[in-house]
Amino acid sequence: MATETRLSGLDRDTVQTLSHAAGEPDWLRRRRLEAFELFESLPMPSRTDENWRRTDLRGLDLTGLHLPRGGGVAEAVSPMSLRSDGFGGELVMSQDELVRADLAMDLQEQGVVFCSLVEAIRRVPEVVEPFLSNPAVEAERGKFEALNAAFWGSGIFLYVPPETDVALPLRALVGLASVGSATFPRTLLVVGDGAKVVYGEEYASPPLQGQPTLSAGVVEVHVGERASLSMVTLQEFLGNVYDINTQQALLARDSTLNWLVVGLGEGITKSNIDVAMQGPGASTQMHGILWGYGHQHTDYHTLQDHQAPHCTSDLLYKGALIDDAVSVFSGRIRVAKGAHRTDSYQANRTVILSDHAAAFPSPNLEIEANDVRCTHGASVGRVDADQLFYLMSRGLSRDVATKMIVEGFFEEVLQREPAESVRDNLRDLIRRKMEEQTARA
Amino acid sequence: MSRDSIDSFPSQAISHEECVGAMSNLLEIRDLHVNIEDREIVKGIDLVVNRGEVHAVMGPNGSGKSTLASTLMGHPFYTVTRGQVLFDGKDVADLSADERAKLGMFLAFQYPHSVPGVTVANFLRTAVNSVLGPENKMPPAQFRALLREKLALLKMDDSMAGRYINEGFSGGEKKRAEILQMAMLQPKLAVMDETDSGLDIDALRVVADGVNSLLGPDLGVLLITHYQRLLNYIKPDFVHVMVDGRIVASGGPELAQELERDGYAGFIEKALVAV
Ligand SMILES: Nc1ncnc2c1ncn2[C@@H]1O[C@H](COP(=O)(O)OP(=O)(O)OP(=O)(O)O)[C@@H](O)[C@H]1O
Ligand SMILES: [Mg+2]
Repeated sequence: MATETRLSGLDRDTVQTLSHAAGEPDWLRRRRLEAFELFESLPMPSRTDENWRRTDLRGLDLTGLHLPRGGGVAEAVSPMSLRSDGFGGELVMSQDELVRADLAMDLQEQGVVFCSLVEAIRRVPEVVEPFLSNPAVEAERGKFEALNAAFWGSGIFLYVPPETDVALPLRALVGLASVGSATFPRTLLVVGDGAKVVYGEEYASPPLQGQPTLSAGVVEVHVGERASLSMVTLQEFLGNVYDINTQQALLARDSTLNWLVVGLGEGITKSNIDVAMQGPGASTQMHGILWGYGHQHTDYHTLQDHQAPHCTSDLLYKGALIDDAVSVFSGRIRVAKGAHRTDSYQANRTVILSDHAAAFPSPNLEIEANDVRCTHGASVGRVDADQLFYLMSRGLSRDVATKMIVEGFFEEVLQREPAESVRDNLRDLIRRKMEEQTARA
Repeated sequence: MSRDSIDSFPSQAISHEECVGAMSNLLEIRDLHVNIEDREIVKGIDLVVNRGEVHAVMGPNGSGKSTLASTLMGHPFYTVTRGQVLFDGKDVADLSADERAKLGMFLAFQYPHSVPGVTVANFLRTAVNSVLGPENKMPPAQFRALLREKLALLKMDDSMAGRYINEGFSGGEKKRAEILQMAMLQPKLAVMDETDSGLDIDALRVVADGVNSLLGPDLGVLLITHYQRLLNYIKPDFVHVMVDGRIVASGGPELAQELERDGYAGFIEKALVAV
């Protein structure tokens, strides 16, 4: 294990040191330094910013964070929760460092690349560089995107060559291990034209109590023409973790993205999840399951971005909140000029299981094209008293009956997940997680 | 039998003192008054159901039959303002619905609720194990065998077990599913609220056969119905007429036939006079 590089914190010297240590090309170092300057010039988001209206960052002091690189934290990574009947490849990151990356031999022979982003720059520069020099998530988007662009570490890279059908799913884990640390995960997925792949990405940590820990991630997804990507993103950060991330998918003509986001973590999450349909005939299914407990605060901003005609997007996010959990869901549908024949649907449903939990949904439509169909709906409610009585009359305690109703409520989302093994796995995970709390209300 | 003699038919109310030392009544309802919000719906009911007995309760729409049934099961929406419900000699006032179920009480709902996303099998496995208690959990293989047996008893397709609870069930399927649940849970007291409504002739026979197969010296049944038809299949030992929140007459099976012939008019008049 390498000895720890002495880092003073989130400053310019650190950017330089890290970049040199990684032996990065000059152009990339320049990009990082520019991003750092941008980060410094931007104010910390505050609640007067429309996008941060309901999420308070005053508890997060960026100057107090450390970057634990080369410090041997790799061993502390917890086992992965995402399961399937088998995997074609697996990648594990501890904080910002690669622990291991495995890929089945036949997939390697087919030209699939699944490794750290840093290694990909060395191995397949011609594939990676265009995406890094013209990133889907630009540093200019905001303070945390700039921060990530300056400090991202090993990164995750997946490339599936055109017309390649990856039979077994691939999965990656980003594990946090150190209290008070800052981690900058960055994922780049490139699915070639006509290719097909299933990918699961998991963010997890043991309980990191005390001073805040930060994960400021960026995920960029490129789905080629006619390609199909089925993706699960699971977050289970425990303790006082701030997870501030921006995830952007770009869909080419006639491609498909099925994306399930599962939130089981405990801290403060602010997640921008954007799917841009850039080619005609693209379609996306965006699904979410959120189990909110303790003092969890989750703020999802989704965007169904219709830039081309004849595209379809269908979003269904469901949440159940107990204890003092708060969820914010800001769902936007944007239909650009010329994106006619758009078919877009959005629904956000939340069940409240305690007096102190609260949900704030806000749908938002911007339509500049004609001949489009857009529907949206949001609801926040309690468990139905008659359903509860019905189940209890068969001997189920209030707690068990409530959770059974919530499980049933989530099932509609799980049923949209194509792989049965993934459904079963997530159902078990969510059940196990729900068993940790007791429904009283 | 004349109506007057029916009115004077001694109810089964054995006073509590007489029970001391003996096995207590299965269900004993004493002067029960129930409110929905501020309105009194059940206005003083006394009724005793013993093990092995089938009691039919008949009465016009809105007379409070379902209110009585839900109250027996402990629905929090209904407020008991006076009186008592004793099950196996124990006052159940402070017990929630699940605790009553664990004692052996069961309600077949007039309008069973649907629970999307929860399969009948998953629900019943949880219910059976809740009622059996943590020490007596049923092994999964035994549960599956029992479920298959009871599905067959009610002539229900095995695929029903994988469907979501009452979701998209036809009226008749819902009623069968209620009796399936009863058969799985093997209660000591079954309150059946219009289980016959919405069933075609064949389904009625299947459901009645199912119920009859569960009857025995240990099971007490309270059968709420509008129709004599059901009572041709499930023979009641006693028939009670409920009007405006009270039992205004009790008798044997012949009372049901009389109601079928003459309707409730006479009883309603009487109830009005009594007020
Ligand atoms: N949830 C409720 N809210 C308000 N009123 C109710 C409610 N449930 C019952 N009631 C009223 O209480 C009275 C008795 O209703 P109940 O359902 O007990 O009658 P029932 O004898 O079962 O009638 P039916 O033969 O039509 O099933 C009716 O006037 C009804 O409108
Ligand atoms: Mg009724």
